[in-house]
Amino acid sequence: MGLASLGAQSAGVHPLHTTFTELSTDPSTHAVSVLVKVFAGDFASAVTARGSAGSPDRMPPDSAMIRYVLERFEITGNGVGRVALRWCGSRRDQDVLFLCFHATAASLSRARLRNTLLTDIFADEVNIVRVNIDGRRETLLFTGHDVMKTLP
Amino acid sequence: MSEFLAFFRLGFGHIVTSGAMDHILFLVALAVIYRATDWRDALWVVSAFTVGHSVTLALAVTNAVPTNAGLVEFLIPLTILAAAVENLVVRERGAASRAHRYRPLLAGVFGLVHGAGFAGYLKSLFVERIAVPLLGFNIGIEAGQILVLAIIGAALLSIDAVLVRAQRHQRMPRKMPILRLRVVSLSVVIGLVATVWAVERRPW
Repeated sequence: MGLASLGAQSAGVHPLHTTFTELSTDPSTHAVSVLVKVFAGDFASAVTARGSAGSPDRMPPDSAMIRYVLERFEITGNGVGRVALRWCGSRRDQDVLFLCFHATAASLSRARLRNTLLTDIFADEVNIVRVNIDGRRETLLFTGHDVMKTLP
Repeated sequence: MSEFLAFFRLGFGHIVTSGAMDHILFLVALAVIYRATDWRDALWVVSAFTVGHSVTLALAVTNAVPTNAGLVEFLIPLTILAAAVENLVVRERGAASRAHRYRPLLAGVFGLVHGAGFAGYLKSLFVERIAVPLLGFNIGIEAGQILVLAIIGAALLSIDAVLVRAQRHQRMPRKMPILRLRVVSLSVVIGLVATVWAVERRPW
């Protein structure tokens, strides 16, 4: 019984449930750039689990993917409210999906970032965000229990 | 948080979780032959395992060696099975035996296979500036393994106590030393689980 359940539990290999995002700003243009890297199958499952079209083998439509990210990746500016991220496309490289967003904001210094990507489907999800705010670099780590961070 | 620390936490968390069962079972297979007083040998073997999977991880992430995810998934339980069989077959492990020399090598070689399992994931996400993430991830895994090893050690002591009691009540063969009894019983269970996994993950 125990042996069977152990076998069933670990029939698949030990997956790394993580996303990696690069968030940067250009102080001269106030441009904000966000590039989310996510495993395509995991991401499709998360978006589909919300009732949108698609499956791990077939990616959901852009509108569903954008809606999912914007609900779960949110920058609340320092005195300027929520930063409006705009979609700038996606590309796929083997298993990984690259999701591009951009925005314009005067300053993101001390702004708050909320990242709950895929935490709705994986309890052990770890989201890493490499931040470069006007030259100040930091790496932020988000888990299902720790979803909000202050930018440098 | 620094990039190193973020990936250290990622590696540590990746091992210290029930989801890491195949990794943990391999550590149990490596550690089960040791007494509490042999902790240095156990640590040395586990560290050799880390060195092995760090090497593959670094090579695979930098595209120096190709990885076939399906094959790696299949090979991992085979390494666990091989470690369990070695536990059963080798009876004499005195200080002067060759076990002290070849077990770290064995762990290192099997670590090469386990490292390829991580590589498929890391390679996809971190194609640029990989050195710091890779170092942090590997050291995090090593720290996680040492913690798991300590927990395994405590569990083995408890198992020994149970076996002593069982021997006293004549539910276990009295002539067999407790250590050998522990090695045989756990290695059989580990071998069976690994066999089930290998069958489930067979690439054909």
